[in-house]
Amino acid sequence: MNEDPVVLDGIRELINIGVGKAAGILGELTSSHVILEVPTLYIGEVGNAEGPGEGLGNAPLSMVFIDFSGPMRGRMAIMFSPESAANLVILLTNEDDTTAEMDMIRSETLTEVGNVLINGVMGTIGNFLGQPLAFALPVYVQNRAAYLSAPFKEKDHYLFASTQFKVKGRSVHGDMLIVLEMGSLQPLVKKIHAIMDQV
Amino acid sequence: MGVDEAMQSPGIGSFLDSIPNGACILDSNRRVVYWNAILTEWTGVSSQSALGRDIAEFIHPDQQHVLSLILTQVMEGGGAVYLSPQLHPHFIPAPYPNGGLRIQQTIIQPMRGPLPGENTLLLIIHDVTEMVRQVQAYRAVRDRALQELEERTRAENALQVSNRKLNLLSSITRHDILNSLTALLMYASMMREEAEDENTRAGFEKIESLGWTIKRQIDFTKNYQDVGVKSPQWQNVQLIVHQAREQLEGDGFRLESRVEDLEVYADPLLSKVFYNLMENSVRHGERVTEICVSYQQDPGGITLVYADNGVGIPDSEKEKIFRRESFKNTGFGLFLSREILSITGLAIRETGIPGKGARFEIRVPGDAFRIMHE
Repeated sequence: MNEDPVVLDGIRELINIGVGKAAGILGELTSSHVILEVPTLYIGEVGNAEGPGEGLGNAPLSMVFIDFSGPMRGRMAIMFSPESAANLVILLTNEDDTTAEMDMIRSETLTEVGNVLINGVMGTIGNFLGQPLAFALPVYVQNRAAYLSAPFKEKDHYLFASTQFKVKGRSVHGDMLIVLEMGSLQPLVKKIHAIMDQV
Repeated sequence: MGVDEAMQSPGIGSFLDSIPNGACILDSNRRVVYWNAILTEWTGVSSQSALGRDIAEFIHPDQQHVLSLILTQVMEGGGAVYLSPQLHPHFIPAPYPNGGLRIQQTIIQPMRGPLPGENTLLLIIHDVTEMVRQVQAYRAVRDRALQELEERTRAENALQVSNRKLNLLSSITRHDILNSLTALLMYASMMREEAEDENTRAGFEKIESLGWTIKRQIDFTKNYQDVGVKSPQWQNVQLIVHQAREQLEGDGFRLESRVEDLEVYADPLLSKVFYNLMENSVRHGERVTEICVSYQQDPGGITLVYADNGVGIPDSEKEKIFRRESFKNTGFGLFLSREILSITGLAIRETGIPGKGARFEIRVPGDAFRIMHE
């Protein structure tokens, strides 16, 4: 797959802009100081041995995903272990109940957090492409990571980014996954190259 | 086509009036262009009255800043906005007739239309009050259960500490009594040997006999103290039977054991049960030359059978031998054995024919045995 460092840097930058916006909105919504970091990014093909679920194991994860269409078609998700998901909600909402268990109230809150984050990142990418994306409604599921890429083909691409939420001095780890249908990565790669050529 | 026409055409307007959620549509200036029947019911504001007004007039004061964030997000190319009941429980305040506000989950979806050529926002508000109450009730039940568990754990820990202290006290006391008893028995023995007349000798013999009884009673407390102290475990019966045999002095009987694949879930003192049975066979069976351990399986569990070819046990004694006061004949062993077995639901009884040998049946329920080759 295209692991051109220029493309990787470009996508990482876009994701950082998106998560920066999302962190601002989350901070406003929750009256907390929220920092979001994306230290690592990988690009691969869904059918690769190191597919998007690799390394996340078979344990069920708490995930929020949104399908999108337009110049790019695919799915973006944010994934946490159920304990991390519950802890993130507790930190963001100052819940008195500190039992790390995902129930309906918390899954609703995580859906909102995931929605803000995904909108931030995909909105930034859509703006960068100059063509808006159309989004479906966010969905919360508890399942294995492989569930997310199941509807996609082996040659479809994925972007995988580990994500660190810092709220009130405490860190919660999550992972971001963007799965793109065949050909959907090309407009982004072309646009990044076009910008770099101008520079 | 104007706003009224757009909303009254058979399509989105009639659809939104038929759903069980609050729904409204805002134009690009965030003015209400549609207000459905449920929102009228919830807020008391009629559709006619809501139309054309800024949505900010209906939104909870705490949520005004959320509205501007939402608009920013939508304007910056984001998709639908999802407002959770935890962070935005009352986006558009909707009281219940008998008081209290509905808890809401709100979705704000940007869309093209229904106004011609215009971007609009569709708000769908779902009343999740009942679901939230159920989760809160579940949390309360869970918290109570966790609290009870914590209290029980604390109580168990305290009991363990108390038990250790009591065991230590009884161990020290037992040691001191046995020391004194040993001295008493030694003096009684010496006095018996030195006694000049039969009555005095008989008196000292009685003292010695009572002394030995006291010693057996003390030994019993030591054995009984260990029952149930350690957690039950799966044990191979064949191994246990052979261990018990090795602990017995002498080998005056042939042991046939047909339990090689059988494991039972029992107190770790299970070997003591078989030791006691064998010791009783040797001590009281008079002519025991064969002991057989086997089992029979049935739909409810298994019956573990211990049988010897000694004199057997008279019918009148079959239940008495398990009583604590029967120590003279069985050395407390059978009372203790029944206690050990009962910890994991195993029951023992004597079913032999007097004169043809003793036969002990240990009933093991279905969840307390396993046959390894299966």
